[in-house]
Amino acid sequence: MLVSTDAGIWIGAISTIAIWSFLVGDNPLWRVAESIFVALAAAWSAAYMWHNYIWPTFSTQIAVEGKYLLIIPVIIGLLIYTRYFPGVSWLARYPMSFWIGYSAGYILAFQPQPFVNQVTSSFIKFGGATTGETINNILLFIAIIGTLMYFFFTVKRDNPVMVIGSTFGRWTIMIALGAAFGSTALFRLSLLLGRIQYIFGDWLQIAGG
Amino acid sequence: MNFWDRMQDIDVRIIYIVIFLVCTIAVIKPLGLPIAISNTTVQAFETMDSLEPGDVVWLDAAYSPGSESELNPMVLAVAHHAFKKDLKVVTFALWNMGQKIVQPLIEDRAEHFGKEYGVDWVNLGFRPAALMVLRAMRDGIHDAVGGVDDFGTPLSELPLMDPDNPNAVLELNDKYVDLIVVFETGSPGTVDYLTYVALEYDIPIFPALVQVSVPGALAYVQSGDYSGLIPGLRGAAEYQILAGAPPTAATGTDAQSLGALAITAFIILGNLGYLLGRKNAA
Repeated sequence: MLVSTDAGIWIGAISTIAIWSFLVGDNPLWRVAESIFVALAAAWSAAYMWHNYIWPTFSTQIAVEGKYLLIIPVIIGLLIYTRYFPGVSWLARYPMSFWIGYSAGYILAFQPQPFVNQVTSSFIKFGGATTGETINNILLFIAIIGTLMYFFFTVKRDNPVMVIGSTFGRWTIMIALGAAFGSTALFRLSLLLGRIQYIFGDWLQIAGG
Repeated sequence: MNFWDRMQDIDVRIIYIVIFLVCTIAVIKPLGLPIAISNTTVQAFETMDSLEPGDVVWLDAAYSPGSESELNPMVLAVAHHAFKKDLKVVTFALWNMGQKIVQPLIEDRAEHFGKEYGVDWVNLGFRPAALMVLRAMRDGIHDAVGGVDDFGTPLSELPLMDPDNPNAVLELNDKYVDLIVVFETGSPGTVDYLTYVALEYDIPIFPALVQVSVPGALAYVQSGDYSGLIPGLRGAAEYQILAGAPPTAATGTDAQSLGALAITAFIILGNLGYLLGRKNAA
């Protein structure tokens, strides 16, 4: 077993073990690791945004390329910080209004299409190329109808059609939620595996990784 | 308290230790379990395989370091496939660390196939506000990203993005981009590309997803909006097999299978404990 001599890998391995120590109980090692992570992530993001986005806007696009119109959105964006000054905090409403209005309008214009595509894709022929496909298509149709019936609260549940439909819909929902839970469990396992491969592969070098 | 009552109340630390040991043993000593290729991965592979040399693939790294274990193997596999087919690759990130995570991975595959940065692939970096940026890039990538790549190099100095090059990628639309692949943990992600770019310009798109997002994304595959899907770590292993990429995900799938079996065993024991414990109490 040849342990890695890379300082970065050692730091990563110790941090991983420090975070895992939370499984035993809250402790100072875990708190230190968590605080360092949050601080590093926030600082890195701020520095990256300044160097790669904000500064090039001024130094290249405005100063060199002469795109002076960009000064207008810069000023509008800076107005958001007026909320920290009580006398002029009302100015912060303008960038928020523009942001929300533009986003809402744009989203409303574009969001229906993928949703409508899914609705229209449920209009399927029962008969498929194979027996399996036929069973799938019928099951899909019944599952969609049953699920919709489960959420149809304006009709009383005292008639047999609604009882059967909504019960089937409830089972469909439970199966779907079970699949989602299983996927979530696999995802968490994958995250654990990543860390195990790091500890035993990159750090302790006893696994292929 | 009898055996079945104890099964309902297993100490969580025992569960943690068992799952940790099972996964660790599988990582150290892989079993080499066979991997069946799923239809969605085949569909994704065939979508990229149908492209011609010189076509442009837009890769988006919409994930953070927390999802590296699942998504990094997918990036390796897709980049391997893209460079093997002599495609041009433009990398962008809707999440603020994605571009740094994928850089060494794509660089590794680019070097393997003798591809040159700036000529065959470019990393445009990260820009915030997915909605605004995607909208802006449809009309002009240069202005939308501030005229520089992730390293601060002016785009005019990179042949793949230079406006003076007739084959440059200047806009995020069907005139310049032939396929979009999004490596995604959550939002913003593939749905944003689908809604604001792919559907409008009829550009094929497929996501490479963490496992937790797969059930929700399958509806888009069924509706035909996604041209395939790479599902989680297993999907990464499948795509690596199809593309002939280094099999970095294979050991993970062994451990994932055994870990899932261990979890299933505990769930069954717990439910048996509940049913039989209730029966005994009655």
